[in-house]
Amino acid sequence: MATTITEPARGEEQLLDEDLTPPKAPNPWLVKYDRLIYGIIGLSAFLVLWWWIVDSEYVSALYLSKPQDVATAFVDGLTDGTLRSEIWPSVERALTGFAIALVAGITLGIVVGSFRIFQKLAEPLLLFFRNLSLLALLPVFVVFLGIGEESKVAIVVWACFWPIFINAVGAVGGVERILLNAARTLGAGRVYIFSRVVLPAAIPAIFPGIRLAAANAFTALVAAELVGGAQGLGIYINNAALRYQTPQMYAGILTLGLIGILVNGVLTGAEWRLTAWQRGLTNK
Amino acid sequence: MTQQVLAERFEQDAGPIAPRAHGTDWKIEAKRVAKIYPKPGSRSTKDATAVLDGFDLQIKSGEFLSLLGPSGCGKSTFLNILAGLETHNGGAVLVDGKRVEGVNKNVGVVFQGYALFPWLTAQKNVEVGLKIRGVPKAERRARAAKVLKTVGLEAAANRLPHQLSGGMRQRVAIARVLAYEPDILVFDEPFAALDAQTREFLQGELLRIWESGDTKKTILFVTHSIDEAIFLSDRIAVMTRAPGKVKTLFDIELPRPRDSDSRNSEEFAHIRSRVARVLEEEVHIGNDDH
Repeated sequence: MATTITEPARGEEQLLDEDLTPPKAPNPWLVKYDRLIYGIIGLSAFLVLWWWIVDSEYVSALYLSKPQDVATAFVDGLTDGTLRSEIWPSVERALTGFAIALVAGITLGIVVGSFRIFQKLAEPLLLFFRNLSLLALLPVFVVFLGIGEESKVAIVVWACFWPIFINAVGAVGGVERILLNAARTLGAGRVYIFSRVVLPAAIPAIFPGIRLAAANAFTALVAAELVGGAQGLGIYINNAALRYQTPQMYAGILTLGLIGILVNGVLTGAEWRLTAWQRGLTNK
Repeated sequence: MTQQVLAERFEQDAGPIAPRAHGTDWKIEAKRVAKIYPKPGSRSTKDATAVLDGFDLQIKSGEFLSLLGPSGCGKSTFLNILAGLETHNGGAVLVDGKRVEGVNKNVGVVFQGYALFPWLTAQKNVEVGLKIRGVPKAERRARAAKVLKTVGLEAAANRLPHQLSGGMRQRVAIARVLAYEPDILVFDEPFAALDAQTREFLQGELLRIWESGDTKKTILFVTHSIDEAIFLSDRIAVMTRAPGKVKTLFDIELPRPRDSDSRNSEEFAHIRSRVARVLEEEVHIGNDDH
C-alpha cells in the first residue's frame, strides 16, 4: 500500500503589512482601573443625590443628616472615643457567636449529612426552625438568658448556625462517592474521612452558608442590642435616635456598613484560599 | 426464590471454607461468589437483580490477571467485593486464605475516575496512605518522592490534580497505591477515559513498574479492552454476561518484557481472535435477550 505525504498548499499572494492593521487596543489605564472609576462615579452620584435631598429641604435634617455632617460625626466619634468604644463590644459578640456557630454548624452538619437516619430525624425540625423569625425568638432568649452578654451571643449563634448547618448537611451529599471509597481503600478510618476528606470536599458548598451567616450575625446582634444593654453599636444608634442626634445615628449606621464591607472582604479572601483547588475544576 | 434462600444455597454450595494451615497456593480465591442488588422501592426479592452468580476465580501470588467481560457483567462488582467496598450475598472471597471482611489494607485500588483528592498536590496525594499508617513526615516525603519518580512525575510533585493531564493523574493514582506497598493491586478500568496513545504508553509503564518491583505484586485488572488485557496479562478471565461468572480462562504466553512489537506479533493476533470469539458469544446472547 502506497502512502503519499504532501505538504499543505500555501496561498500564492503575499499579504501586505498594511492589510494587517491590528484592532485598536482599549486604553490600558481604563482597563486596569475600570471598576474603581465606575465605583467612584456611582458613589459620588449617590452622595450628591443624598446631599441635594437634604439641602433642598425636601427631607428634614432632623430625619436625614447631610453626608458631610455624618462624616464629621463619624470622625468625631472615632477621635473622642464615644463611637470607637462601642465598636469592639459589638464586634466581639458577633465574632464569638459566629465562631461558635461555625464550629457547631459544620460539625453537626457533616454528622447529620453523613447518616441518612439523622437526616430523616432532623428534617421536620429543620423545616420549622430555618424559617422561624429571629425577632419572634428574641423574647425567648431574654427570658432564658437575661439582657446580658449571654443572650446577645446566643442570638448571634442562633442566626449564624442555621445557614451554615443547612449548607453543610447538603454539602456532604455532594461529596463524590469515589473519593470516600478511595480513602477507605487507603485505610482511612471514620475520623480521617470526616476531617480530611468530607470536610475539605464540602467546604466550597458550605461557603454560601458561611457568608449568609456573617451577614446574619450583625443583623441579629443589632436586634439584640436594641433590646437593651450598656455598650454596642446597636445601643449607640438607638440612643442617638432617642436624643435626636441624627448625624450620630447615621455615623453608627455608617460604621456597621463599613464593618460589613470588611467582613465581606475577609470572607472573600478566605473563600479564595480555601477553594483554590476547585477553581481549575469549574472554570469559575 | 427469596434472597435469603438464594444466599443460603450458595453458602451450602460453597462447602466448608476453612483457612488452610500453610502454603496457600492462591493469593486470591473466589468461591461461588454471588451478589444480588434489591430493586429500589420493592420489597419483593423477585425483583432483585443478580449481578454475580457462582463466580469462581483463583489468582496466584505475583500473577497479572485481567478480568474481561461485557458491560454490566459484574466485573467491577467483584473488584469492589475483593477490595472490601461492597458486601456479597453468598460464597466466599479469600485473600491469603482469609475471608475478606471489610476493607483490606493490603489491597490497593486504582479507580477509573482517578479519585485523587483535588485539594492536595500530587505529592500529598501519594502521601495519604502513608499518613494514615502513621509514617513520620520525613520518611513519608522521601517515599512519596521516590514513587513519584518511579512513575515519572517527579517534576509535577507540587501540582494540583486539575493542573495535570488525565494520563498524569492516573499515574499519580498508581503512585498513591504503590507508596504504601500493598501485596495486591486492583485496577478498575484505569485507562478507559484516556486517549489511545496515552493508554498504550501507560500500559507499557504499568508493566515496567510491575516488573521492576522487588517482589512482584499480584494484580487484578478489570478492563473491557481485549488488546489491553492481552498485552498486560499472564492470564485473562472472560466473564459471562450478568449474572456473571468466569466463563473461560486464557493463558497468555507472550514473552516478557513486552513492547509495541508484541502487539503486532502473530501470536497476539491469534489470541485476540480467540478471546474475541468467546466474548462476542456473550455480547450476542445478551443482545438477543432484549
